[in-house]
Amino acid sequence: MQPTYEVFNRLSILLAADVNTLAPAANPPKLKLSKGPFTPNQGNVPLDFTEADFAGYAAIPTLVNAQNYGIDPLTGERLVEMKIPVGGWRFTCTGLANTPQQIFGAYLINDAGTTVYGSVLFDGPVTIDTIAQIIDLDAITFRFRFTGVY
Amino acid sequence: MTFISTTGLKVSLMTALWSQLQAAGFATNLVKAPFTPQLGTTLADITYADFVGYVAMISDPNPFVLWNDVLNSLFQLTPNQAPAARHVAVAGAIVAPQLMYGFCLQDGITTDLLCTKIFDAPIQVNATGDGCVIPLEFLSFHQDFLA
Repeated sequence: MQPTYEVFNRLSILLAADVNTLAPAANPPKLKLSKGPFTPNQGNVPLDFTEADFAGYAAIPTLVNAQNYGIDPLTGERLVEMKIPVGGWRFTCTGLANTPQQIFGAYLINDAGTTVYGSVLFDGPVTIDTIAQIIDLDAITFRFRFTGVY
Repeated sequence: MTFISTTGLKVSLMTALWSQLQAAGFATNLVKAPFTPQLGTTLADITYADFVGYVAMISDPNPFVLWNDVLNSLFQLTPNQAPAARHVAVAGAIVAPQLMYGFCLQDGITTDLLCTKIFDAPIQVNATGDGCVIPLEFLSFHQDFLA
């Protein structure tokens, strides 16, 4: 059958408010960087990633409760965007311990560290080897594809 | 940055959708005027059948089964509705034949239009006793419906 936009509206609203994954009331998921290569896919598990550990690195907790949802004005695709915490999705190198270190991408994982919700591979590895270097992700977005529902 | 989601995230989302639709149930209507099934189709594009004896099919409570179709990499939301409840027939003299071009599904509570489908060819009902079985279909979600 042919879905209407209403189906995708509901999907984005439900995902943004899913208390079992992206929107718990406490112990929210965390954004982490991976210093090991990986292939983003729906089967990713925590062991697929090697968490970064350069000086100054720390996983960033997401905000609790419902996240943002909306529409991409260019494609009409429905989106869920994680709310941006104070300080943003910003990782800063503050020392030379465990450097140089290559960062391959980022992943979103539950607070317990047992379930990966999503990941993104950078266009190329980013080398951290100098104090004050920054990795700043602009947004954490989940995107629905119209072609995937029929 | 668009993240590639995992199956765990998708399964949780599908469960939430299933739960919402279970609570609402659904209503299926035949459509008597031509229409084009597309994302932007709304109820304004739909003209329900209205021959004598026609009634929309209202689902039973908790009509959906959610299952993972591993063969086709799909999440399936399948309506579980008795076949006998899906038959409608002309019950009286009708002024003119009606052509059924397809059908549509709506949320049983909000009446939001969820999905549509056209028949391969229009089905014509002409006189008392002419019947039509409302198809029982819903949506399939390929596992990449969420990037």
